Amino acid sequence: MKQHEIDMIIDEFIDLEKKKIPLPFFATGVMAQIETSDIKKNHSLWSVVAVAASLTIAISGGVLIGSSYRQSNSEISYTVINDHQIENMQFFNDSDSE
Amino acid sequence: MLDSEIIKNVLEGNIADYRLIIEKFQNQIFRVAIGFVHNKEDAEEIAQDVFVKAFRNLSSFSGKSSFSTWLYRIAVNQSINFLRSKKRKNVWQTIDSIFNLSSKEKKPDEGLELKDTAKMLKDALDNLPVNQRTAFILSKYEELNQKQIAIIMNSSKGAVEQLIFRAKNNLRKQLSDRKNL
Repeated sequence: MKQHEIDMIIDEFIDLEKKKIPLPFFATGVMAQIETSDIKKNHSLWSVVAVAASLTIAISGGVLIGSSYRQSNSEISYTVINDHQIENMQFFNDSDSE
Repeated sequence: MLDSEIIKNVLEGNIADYRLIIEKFQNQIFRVAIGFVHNKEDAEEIAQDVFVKAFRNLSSFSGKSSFSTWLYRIAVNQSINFLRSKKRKNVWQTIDSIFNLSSKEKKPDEGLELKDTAKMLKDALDNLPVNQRTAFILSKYEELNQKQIAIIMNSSKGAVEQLIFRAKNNLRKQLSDRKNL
């Protein structure tokens, strides 16, 4: 095939492609997308603010409650138990009771 | 109304005025996208993304170049990114088709379709290196001069001239090779 024939085919193909145009409501679609994404952006911003605020409230609430705790002054009692006295180990070692 | 006035209005909060920008440039941006993807649906998707991206970054438009140059730059980048992501998807589809060969057997007409001139031209254009393809599309689809293309591509006029020259030669070679098969 000759060069000018190839050039002609290329030009014809490009001319055909150039005739294609976007849908009539293209601009409306883009504007709708822009407005929707703007609303979504605002929504997501508010949700981030809400989460941050609730976390701050929860943490500061915990700190407040924790710092308001007062230890009772009641006396502390201990019970000392000698295990050796409670369990009669001889009983388990006694072969007669088997 | 001048582009700069519309942009000022939009930045001041009159978002509805952005429609004027879309209506003014939609055909140009769509044509650039068509040059890259050769498919109306994909070109519309790209053009839509270009205008949304431009709107979101409108405040960063400094006005050093014309607004159309700035939009063309976004359109070229968006189209190249679109093709890259499509290529990645196609790799997965190819892998998928290998495992599902029986369900997607070739039709007898498919060989003829592949030899179709339009398909051949699309393939030839797609095979061009990105820089050559960009310069060629801006020159042929948008009929921009070499100086304008050089500004869009951040290159020199001479370099653009070379790119277009090589693109044409590449296309001729590819097409004559295929026609001789």
